[in-house]
Amino acid sequence: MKRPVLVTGGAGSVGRRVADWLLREGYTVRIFDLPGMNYAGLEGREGLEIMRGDLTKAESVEQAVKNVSAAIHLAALLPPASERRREVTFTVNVDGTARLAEALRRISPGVALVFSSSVSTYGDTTGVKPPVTVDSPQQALDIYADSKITAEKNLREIYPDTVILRISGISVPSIQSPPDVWPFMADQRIEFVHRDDVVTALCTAAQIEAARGRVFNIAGGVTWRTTGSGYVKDYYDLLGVPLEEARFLKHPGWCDWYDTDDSQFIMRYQKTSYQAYLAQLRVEAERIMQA
Amino acid sequence: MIPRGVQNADAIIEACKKIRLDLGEKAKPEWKAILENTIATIEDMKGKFFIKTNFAIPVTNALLKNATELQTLIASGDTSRFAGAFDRLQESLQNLINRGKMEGVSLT
Repeated sequence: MKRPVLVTGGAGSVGRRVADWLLREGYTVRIFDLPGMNYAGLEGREGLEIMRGDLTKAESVEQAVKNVSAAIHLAALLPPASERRREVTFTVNVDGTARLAEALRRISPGVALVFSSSVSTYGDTTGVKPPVTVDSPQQALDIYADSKITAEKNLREIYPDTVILRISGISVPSIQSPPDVWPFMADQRIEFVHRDDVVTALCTAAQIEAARGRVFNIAGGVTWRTTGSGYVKDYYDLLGVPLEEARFLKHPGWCDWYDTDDSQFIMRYQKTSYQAYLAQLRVEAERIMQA
Repeated sequence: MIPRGVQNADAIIEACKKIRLDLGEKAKPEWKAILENTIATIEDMKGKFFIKTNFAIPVTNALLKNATELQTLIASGDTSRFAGAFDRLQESLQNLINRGKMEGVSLT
């Protein structure tokens, strides 16, 4: 029996796809997520074990890391929920991450640990010449980014081999209602990444020895480099909505263009160009119109 | 330029108000309820992003067609077909509600 890959936060939208990717590649998977999550479509699948638990509970985490071959740590409080109460966010995103790393070190030492961090940890980089590298200073603009910076720092001490992926904004190829205010200025540099490519990066990072102990930016690559208004215009054009309807931040958000040369060289995850993403959106839009 | 979905929404509200007025005492309580619900729902939808998109055009077209059909029936005095026409209006409204949800956000 193969030892499973642990996927924390595995019942979420990215986690489910990570599990799919791993199963497709012949791995067994252990999904660890909160008991209240929706596990429809996951239960009963061959090679997939579901463990309902809580990162804030030591016993539950120790159980989760037993006999695993690798761990992909996605579980976290994300914005906007992360911005409500700092102590709750830190309990989950910082203490929970440290607890997981300590449990791995004690119970399953030496296995790969991939941590999903965020490019939002760089804060406002609009005054810096792009692209933003992994050596750029980190300066949080919100509680979420602050929690990720602290979690990264702890991981370097507790589990130095951790692969830290600072992931950019994830673009999902489906037509959904936009936010009231887009989280960037109209003229701000942005470089998002396709959801499927993030999944590839997360899974590949867990496999490759050369990634151990390193920090990588995960973003879409040069085809995804645009501005806030450019990105939104493409989306709104597809929906037939004029750009004037969009509201942007008046001050810089955390978005920018990122140096992904190393991550792409090692993980080969940038498989979906921005143009291919737009084509997927167009197909989805036609499907909706014809339904 | 006002998006077509918004134009349709305004026309649907106007049509429903006129139907309510023209029916007067002949309106059954359930018909009144459907009209009130349609007007309130469309007023609410007018503030949503969905109504400005191309996706809103076919569904609001359908709703407007149902409302126009009702107006024609009222004008002809053919009360026997009212119930069916109100059912179709309600069905189209539900379709608009379902389509208009556009749940979730595209960025994380």
